[in-house]
Amino acid sequence: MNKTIVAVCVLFSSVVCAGIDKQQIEIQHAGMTGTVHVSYGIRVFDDHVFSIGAGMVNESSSHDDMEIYSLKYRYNFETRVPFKLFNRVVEWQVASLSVTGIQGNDDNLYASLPDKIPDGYYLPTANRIVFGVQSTIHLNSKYQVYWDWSVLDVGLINLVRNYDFYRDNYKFAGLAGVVTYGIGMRVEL
Amino acid sequence: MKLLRITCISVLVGSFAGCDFEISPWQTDAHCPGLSIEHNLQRLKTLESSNNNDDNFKVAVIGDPQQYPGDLEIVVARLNQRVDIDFILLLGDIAETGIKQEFEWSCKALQKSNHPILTVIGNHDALSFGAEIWQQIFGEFNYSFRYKKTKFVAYNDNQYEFDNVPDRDWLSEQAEQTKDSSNLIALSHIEPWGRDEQLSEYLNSLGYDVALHAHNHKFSYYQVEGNSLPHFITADTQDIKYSVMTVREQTITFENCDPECVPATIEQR
Repeated sequence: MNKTIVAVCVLFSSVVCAGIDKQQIEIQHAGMTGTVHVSYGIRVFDDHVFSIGAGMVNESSSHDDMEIYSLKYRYNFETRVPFKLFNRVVEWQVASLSVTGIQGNDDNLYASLPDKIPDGYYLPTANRIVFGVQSTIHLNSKYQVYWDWSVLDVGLINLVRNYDFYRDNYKFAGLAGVVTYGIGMRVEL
Repeated sequence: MKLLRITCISVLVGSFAGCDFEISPWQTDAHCPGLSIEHNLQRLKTLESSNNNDDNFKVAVIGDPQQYPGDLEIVVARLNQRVDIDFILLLGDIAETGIKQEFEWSCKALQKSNHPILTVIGNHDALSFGAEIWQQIFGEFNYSFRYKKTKFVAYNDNQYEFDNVPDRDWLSEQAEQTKDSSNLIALSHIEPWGRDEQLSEYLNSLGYDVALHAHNHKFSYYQVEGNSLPHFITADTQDIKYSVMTVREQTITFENCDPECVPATIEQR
């Protein structure tokens, strides 16, 4: 089993390395990934971006400062629309889709179940999946700013299961009940 | 180009209009006005003073609405139509993974209730930072109240999430302070645990008349052999299920509604 996983990882890494054409640093606020979340990404075969990151959540009434770690895959739709903004030509990349695995680091969360809870009784509370859509403005070939719409795993599941409830109680066909926002900046290295 | 600008501006304005920058899934500042135990006990007091002639009453018992706020909303609407119901007991698991958004979705449905709602914490509610969120929305984990001649004692018995629960001394104190009550009813999310078999006998010895629970997601009503305390378990609210408890001076009976109501029959275990 382990050999298979290693083989798949090696194969995947070789393919990814062969196709790398850009590296990026991304800084994001909110969107479920922290007050500030910094990630390093590689773009492969033009449209696919893989990134790894770490974020910080401020102290609150129920927890101290807390870290959030992430692994993210983003697919960029290449459609870009140029337009003038403050007398400069910029490009609007309408959408990219992402899926991010996040892990929160706090004593109240667990990545594997504590000893006193039987195996399989709960899913680990520290691990979540965030689905996102981003709309990006390319200021020039190096700098981008983006707006992020994110939905947590349970939000997507509930929206599908209870569509009428969300549609009737929240704006934008129910999306306002599950979607949260983030903003960010990306620098091509 | 003009069309593009209008589209851009519309998207941004539309997004900002309902701006909700969630820093993490584990935020604790849930927005659930009107659901605190204190507020609902006040509503119950007002109801009691306006309806003092009859000591008999009916209560709706619901549980485990997590993941299905749509069905919870329908159950609440159905109970709103029943004028014979005085209030609702919600026996826990409002959230599945204890996160703020899950509490807020259930709250959205519960806020539509015409009836006061009294809540007990469930095991799923206490996951992640859920215990803090629950306290912030509802209040104390252990509390008691009296309605007409019946005393209700709500206690936390989620043993994986909390240490030293249930608080037996507190349960005993509550049972002792029941001089004016003709009925004493225990409320908790989980029925007495297998490793805590004596709890049912203990409650019985303290004078509790019946114990209400949820957690199992199915209706059940039973007595353990050699112990006269009945345990009633309500089903989850998925596909519109709830229970109705009728309290009279000497008898307490239950109906299982799925969604039509039929009398619950007790079984011996």
